[in-house]
Amino acid sequence: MYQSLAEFLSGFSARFPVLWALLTLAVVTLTSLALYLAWGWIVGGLEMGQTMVRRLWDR
Amino acid sequence: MYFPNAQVAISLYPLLLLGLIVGTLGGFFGVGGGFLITGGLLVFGVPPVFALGTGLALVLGTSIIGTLRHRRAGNVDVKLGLLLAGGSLPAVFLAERLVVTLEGAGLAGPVVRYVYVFMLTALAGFIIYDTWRNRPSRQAGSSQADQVSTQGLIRRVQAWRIPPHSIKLPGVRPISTRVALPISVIPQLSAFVPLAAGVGIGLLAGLLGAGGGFMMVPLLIYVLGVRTRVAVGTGLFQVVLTGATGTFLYARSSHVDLVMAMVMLVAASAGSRLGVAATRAVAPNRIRFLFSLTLLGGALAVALKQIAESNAGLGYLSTVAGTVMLTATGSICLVMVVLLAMSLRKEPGAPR
Repeated sequence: MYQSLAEFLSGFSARFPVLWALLTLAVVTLTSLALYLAWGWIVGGLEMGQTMVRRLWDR
Repeated sequence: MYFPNAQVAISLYPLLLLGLIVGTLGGFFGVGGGFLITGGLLVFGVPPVFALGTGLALVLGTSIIGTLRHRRAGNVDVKLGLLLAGGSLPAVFLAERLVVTLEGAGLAGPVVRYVYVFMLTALAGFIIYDTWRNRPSRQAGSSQADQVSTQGLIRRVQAWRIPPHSIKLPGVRPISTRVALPISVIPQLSAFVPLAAGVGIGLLAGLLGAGGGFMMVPLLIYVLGVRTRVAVGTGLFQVVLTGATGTFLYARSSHVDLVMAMVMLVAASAGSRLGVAATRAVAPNRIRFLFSLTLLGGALAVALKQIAESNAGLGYLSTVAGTVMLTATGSICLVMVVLLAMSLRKEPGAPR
């Protein structure tokens, strides 16, 4: 399945090079934004958890 | 894992490690890391044209993440970045034409590499000299760690009045060509200065096949007088624009392996977080010193590659060059992590 998807994408990029280039830009940009947000949430969640544990410990 | 577009099978671990190093250095120094990624991917056996294309896609991704983080910390001067890109983007295309002409004459490879080695060594030498001259022990205190030795040049450049002093457009009142850049703490600067600087960097970047971040950051600090942290953030923002242009050009000819770029981007995003946190915790003069060491590592790697290319019997030096680059940058990442940890131990509440 991975191979056939790769073949399809290879054919698509050969037929529509500009559209493919724009799609590549869009995928890289959106993935970067998603990773930026995801790391923010992960670190934010860890900090919140740390604060909660500290408060419970202090009690 | 097999990457069908680049038609190469590579283990995931070295790719993730390369992504982590590139992301960390990008966040810390404000460079896209094109020189490192391309060298690293070549060592892993990726065909050169895919190494360049995929590297540029990764440069774009890491610089987007780094720019967003630096922007949150108030380290990105968007106005200055756009002015620089206004000069560098057309210049990159011009440089590509120049490379084609040099290639026609069979000179592209050696010329590019000699210019690279000279530029990297000269920049690194100057930064080391400047860091030594302005080391905090010789200054009034650690608050002077962002002081550079080119204050006279900076004052002259900021005072330059290049005509025309205003641009008249129909129906709009005259627009002054002197701009205020409050984020960079530059009260007035002729817009033609960053535009011309952008053209110069773009030409060199296009000639060397890199995003130009490694030249942009020193130029912003030592010529325009931008503070180190803002120079790092603005340099990254400018790399987003050049990286996007490069990715588009390579993707159009189907020379970007998107899966490979995505794999490395996941690790690079973690590294970028670390690198940006370190810029806030490590003193600016130390950032500049570590940056110069990275440039020296790059110069050594390119010099080894040139020796390998010009001597048929020394082909193995190409692999040594990539390994030197990865080892040098990996060690600098470790030093940076140690400095960050030391700073966090001193100030537990420091920003992360």
